[in-house]
Amino acid sequence: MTNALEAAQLAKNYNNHIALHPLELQIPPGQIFCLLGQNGAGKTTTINLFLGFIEPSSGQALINGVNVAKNTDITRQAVAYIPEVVHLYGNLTGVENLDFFNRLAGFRFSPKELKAFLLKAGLQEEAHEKKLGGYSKGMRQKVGIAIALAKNASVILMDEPTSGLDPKATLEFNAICRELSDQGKTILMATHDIFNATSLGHRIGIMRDGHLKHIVDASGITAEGLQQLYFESIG
Amino acid sequence: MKKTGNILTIAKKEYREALRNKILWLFAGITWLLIIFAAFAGWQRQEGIHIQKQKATALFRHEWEEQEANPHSAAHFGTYLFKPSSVLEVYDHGLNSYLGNTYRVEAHVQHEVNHSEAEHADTNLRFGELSVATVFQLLLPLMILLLSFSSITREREGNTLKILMIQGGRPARLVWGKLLGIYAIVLTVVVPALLLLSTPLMAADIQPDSLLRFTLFSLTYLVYFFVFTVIGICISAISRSSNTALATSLGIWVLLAVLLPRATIRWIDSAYPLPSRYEFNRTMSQAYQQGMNKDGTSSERWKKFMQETLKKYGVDTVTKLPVNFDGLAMQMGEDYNSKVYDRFAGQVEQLIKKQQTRLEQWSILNPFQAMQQLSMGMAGSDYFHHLYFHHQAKSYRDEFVRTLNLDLANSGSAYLSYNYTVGPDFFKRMKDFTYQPPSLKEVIRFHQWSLFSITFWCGLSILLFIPLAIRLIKI
Repeated sequence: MTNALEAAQLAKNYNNHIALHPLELQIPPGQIFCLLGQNGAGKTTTINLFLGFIEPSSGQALINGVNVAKNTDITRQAVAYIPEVVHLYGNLTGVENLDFFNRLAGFRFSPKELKAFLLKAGLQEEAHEKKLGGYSKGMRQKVGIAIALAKNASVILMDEPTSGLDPKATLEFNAICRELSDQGKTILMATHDIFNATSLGHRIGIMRDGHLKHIVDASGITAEGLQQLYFESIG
Repeated sequence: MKKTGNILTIAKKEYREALRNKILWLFAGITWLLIIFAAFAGWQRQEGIHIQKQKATALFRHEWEEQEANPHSAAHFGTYLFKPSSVLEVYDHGLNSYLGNTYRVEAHVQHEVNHSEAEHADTNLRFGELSVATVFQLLLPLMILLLSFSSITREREGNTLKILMIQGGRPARLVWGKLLGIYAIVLTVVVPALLLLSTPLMAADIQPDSLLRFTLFSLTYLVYFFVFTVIGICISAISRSSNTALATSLGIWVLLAVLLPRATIRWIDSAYPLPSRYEFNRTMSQAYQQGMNKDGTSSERWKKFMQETLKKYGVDTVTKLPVNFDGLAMQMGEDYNSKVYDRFAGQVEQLIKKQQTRLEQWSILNPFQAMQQLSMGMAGSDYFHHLYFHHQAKSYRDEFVRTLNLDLANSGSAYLSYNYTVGPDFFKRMKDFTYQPPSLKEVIRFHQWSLFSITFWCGLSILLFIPLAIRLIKI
C-alpha cells in the first residue's frame, strides 16, 4: 500500500545552513504523526516541503506516491493545510470564508452544504453567519478544518494548530482529528505540546537541528517517558 | 476556465471584503465630500466670473457704441476682451488662476493677457486651491495606494496566502484577482463622482465638444487610477511586510507627486530661462525706437513713409493729400509695433513652448505630470489655450485699431485737426470679439507626449509590473 506521506532522503539547505538533513519518513494512510522539536528544528521546513512551498535541495517529498516538487498542482489537490494562526477574512462570515476557499479549489456548495461542513468541523450554528473577526482562535481553526473537510483532502498538514487554544478547544480539536483519522485521513502535525502528542498521535517524531532523532509509537510510551526522551534528544 | 474563475473568485472576495471595511467608506466619504465641495466651489466661482465678464463686456460694448468721438481717441479709449472660460475649467483651473484673463485693447500698446486671479486671491492660493483635479491627481492615488498596499502582505501575514495557494490559487491568479477587485472598488468610488460631474455638461448651451472632452478627461483619469492600483498591488506582492509596503507606497507617492514635478520644473527653468518683464519691455521699446534690421529710428521711418505717401499721391505736402496723413502714419506705427511685438513675444513664446515640450517629455517618467497636462488640456486651462486666446485677441486688436486709424485717414478731415468725430452709427458697425477655441485634435497634438506617457505607463503596468510582481511574489 502506498504511503500517504513519504520523505525519501528529503533535504533542504539554505546557502551554508542545513535546515533539513536527509530525512526518511513513511506515514501510512489514516495515521496521525506528531513532530516535536524546538523552533528551528526543521518541522516547518518539512511541512513546507510537503506543501510544495519550497523545493528540496535533494531527495523527494511524496504525497500518495506522487513527487511534490514535480507535480505540485496534483499533490496540492489532496492536501489541506492548517497553520498556527488561521486569520482568514475577518470581514466575511464563516460561511463566506468557507465558500471562498471552496470556489478557489473548484467546488461549489449550497449554503446548506457549507453549514453542514462547518457543523461537522464543530462550529456551532449561531456563528455561521457571523463575521470571522469576532471568532475565537478555536472557532477559526474549525473553519480551517471545514475547508479541509469540504475539499475532502486525504492528507492534512498542520503547523502548531493547538498552540494558543484553551484546554477545552484543544480537546475538541483532538476529537475532530481522531474522527478524521478514523475516516482514513492522514495527519502530519508539528507541535510543541508533548502531552497532546501522546494523547493524539499514533507515532511521534522528535527533531533537532534538522535531524529526525527518534520515532516512537505513542502506544508504547507515556507522556512522562516522552518528555524525558524529548529533553534527552534536544539536550 | 478555472483560471478566470479563480481570478473572479478572488476579485469578488476582495470587493466584498472592502465594501465591509469602514476605512473604505471613510476614504470614499472624504473623496466624495472633497469632490462635491470642489465642484460647487468651482461652479460658484465660474458663475461669478462669468457674470462679471458678461456685465463688463456688455458695459464696455455699450460705452463703446454710445460714444461720440474722434476715431483715434476711441482707439485710446479702447476696450477689454475676456478669456471665455469652458465648463470643464470648473474641474481643473490649470494655469488660469496664474495667467491673466483680461486683454486690454488700446492704441499704440500691445498688451499681454493680464489680471490673474492670483493677484487678488491671496489666502486661497497660498493654501493651494482645491479643485476636482487636485483631488483626482493627488488624493485619489494616495487613497488607492492606501487601499492596496496591504492587499497581499495582509494575506501573507494572516497565513491565508499559503491556504490560497493550496486551494489552487496561483500567484498570477492572485495578482490579477486583487487588481480586478481593488480596481472595481476604485470605480465604485470614482464613477458616481464622474457622473455627478457630468451633469452640468448636459445643459444645451454648451460648447459642442465639451462632452467629448469630458469623456476623454474621465477616461485618462481612469487609466491613471489603474496605474496606481497596479503600483500598489505590485508593491504589496514583493514587500515582506505591510509596514514595508506602506513605507514604499508613500515614498513612491511623494516621489511622483511632490519631488519629481518640482525637480523637473527647476531644471527646465534653469535650462531655458525666460527674460524678465523689464528686459522684455526695454528690448521692445528699444526695437521700436531704434528700429529692427536697419529700418531706421521711428522718426526716420515716419519721414520715409511720408515721402512714399507724397510720391504715391503725387503731391508735395501732407496737407494736399486726399487722405488724413495722421491716420495712415499712426497705422504705419501700429504695423511696426505689431511686427516688433510678434518678433520678441514670439521669441519668448518659442522659449515657453520649448519649456512646455520638455515638461511633457519628462512626464514619461511620471504619470502624475502627464495627467496634470492632459487634465488641464481637456479642461482648456493650459498654456495652449491661453496662447490660442492671446493670438486671437491680438489679431482682433490689430484689426480694431486699423479700422479706427483708416477711418480717420479716409474721413476727409484735415491733417492734425481733431474736431472730426464719429458716433454710434459707426461704432455699432464694429464687430464684437468672438473666440474660437482650439479643436480637440489640436489640444491632443499639443499634449501628445503626456498622452503617450499615460499609455506607456498603462502598458508598463500590464506588461512589466504585473509579470514582475507575479515572479517575485513572496509566498
